[in-house]
Amino acid sequence: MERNIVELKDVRFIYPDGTAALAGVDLSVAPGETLGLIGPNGAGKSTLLLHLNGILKQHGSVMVSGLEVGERNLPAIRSQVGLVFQDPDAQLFMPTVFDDVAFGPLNMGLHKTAVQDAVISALELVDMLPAMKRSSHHLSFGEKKRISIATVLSMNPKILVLDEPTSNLDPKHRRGLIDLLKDLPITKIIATHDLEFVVEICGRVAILDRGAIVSHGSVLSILSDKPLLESHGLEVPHSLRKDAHHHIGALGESSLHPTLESIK
Amino acid sequence: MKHAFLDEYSRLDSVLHRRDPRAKIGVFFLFILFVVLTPAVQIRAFLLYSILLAGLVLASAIPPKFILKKSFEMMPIVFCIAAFVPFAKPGVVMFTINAGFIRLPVTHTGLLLMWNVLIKAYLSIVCSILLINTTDFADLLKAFERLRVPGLLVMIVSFMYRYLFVIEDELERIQTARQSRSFRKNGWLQIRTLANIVGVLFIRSYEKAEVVYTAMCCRGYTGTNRTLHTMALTKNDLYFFALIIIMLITIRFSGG
Repeated sequence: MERNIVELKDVRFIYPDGTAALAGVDLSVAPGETLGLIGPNGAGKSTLLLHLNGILKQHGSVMVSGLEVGERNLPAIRSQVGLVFQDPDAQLFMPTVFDDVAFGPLNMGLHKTAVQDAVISALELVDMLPAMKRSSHHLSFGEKKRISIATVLSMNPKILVLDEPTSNLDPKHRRGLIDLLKDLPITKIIATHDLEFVVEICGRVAILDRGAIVSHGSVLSILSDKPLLESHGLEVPHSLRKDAHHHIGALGESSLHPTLESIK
Repeated sequence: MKHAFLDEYSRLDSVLHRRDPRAKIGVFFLFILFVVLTPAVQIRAFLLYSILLAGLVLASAIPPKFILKKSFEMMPIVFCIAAFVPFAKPGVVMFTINAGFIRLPVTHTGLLLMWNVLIKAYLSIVCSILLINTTDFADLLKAFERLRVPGLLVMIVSFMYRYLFVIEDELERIQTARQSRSFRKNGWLQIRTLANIVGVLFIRSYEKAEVVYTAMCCRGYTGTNRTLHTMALTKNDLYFFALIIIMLITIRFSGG
């Protein structure tokens, strides 16, 4: 069996105010896999993601591509785990797009030409090369999201970690993001509430609730399990509902027509 | 949201815009230094400084109207300080202003000092406006970094530039939310709401700062800022620098 690229064992985290955000998480991710991390608000998803590159650490062990996440390995870990925050205004903090995308590679100690190449290829990947010299403040939300991803892609990470990548995106930009992520051949861990997005992009799903992984498995087996999902504040995505087409048909026949007629 | 600029004209293309930011910083810094160190009585020197600065404005292709407008926005602050000077300095009384039962004597040295403050402040303000509007702000920051201005200071200004409008947008959202829920005019309540808004804004900025710092750490930040620059001093930059400096020296020491 191939070794897991991410291995979490009994990870616990209690915030200073006493909230137990993580209560013993065990999770493993295989190389090249796309894992969807779902769960209700406040389940601990963001806290868990911050453990993957050693920003938070209290109890338990986190292994990333064979390295124990800890003080000594932080530079190596952080260049391998690219974490993209939900708020692009937090992810993009430099005066220009170029400086933002170059921030990671420069901190990795790359040479000038290598940094420039990395920036250009990362921006090309997200189709935002023309925006290189612009200031992030003057970009649209969708553009900011794409550049946020470029800021970690430029570090050539082995694992891409995304926190709510589709939130606030319009359908067109959401579609663009799905296409972009599908084409990226690296390991991805994605925390999201967008279950349709999970259906399209993930190979496996884990449900996190009250700081623990309550269930994990293939997308189809988890996301079509109505009782399981509903007991954790989630619901079966529309595309997986057995009665989905029946619903639309019913609407079309019985409720839409009378309304139109009554307007006439 | 609103797309505001601090440096509206910095993306024009002119002789001045094309100069290396470091050359411009040097020139404008020395310009201000010369202006400040010239005695107030040398009226002719100040006239020549103004002409030189006007020439630079013309060379920058920025509408002079814009520079005038911006500079007069700054002047009230200077005026607040300068307005008291004529009365505060002892010396030969020129005339006296009668304000009710108080008599305010205006002295010659006082007036001279006021002129001194006003003209020097005005020329310096125009210099800074010209520098900011002929240089891309990001390049300006990098130039300061290359000129060995402490990294922490550069970073603070850089964050201010990036987040000023983000905070302004946030404030606008809060204002809109407030307006849609409060429709009664009540002076005291309004002041109290305003105080709350300031508090909320502070907390949100503080929280955002924490997330930004975490995002920086995620991308390997360890305390030193590293940026990449493509600045290169050319011959033309050196000529520009030398030309202006020679003109400044001539004006200052030709006797006035």
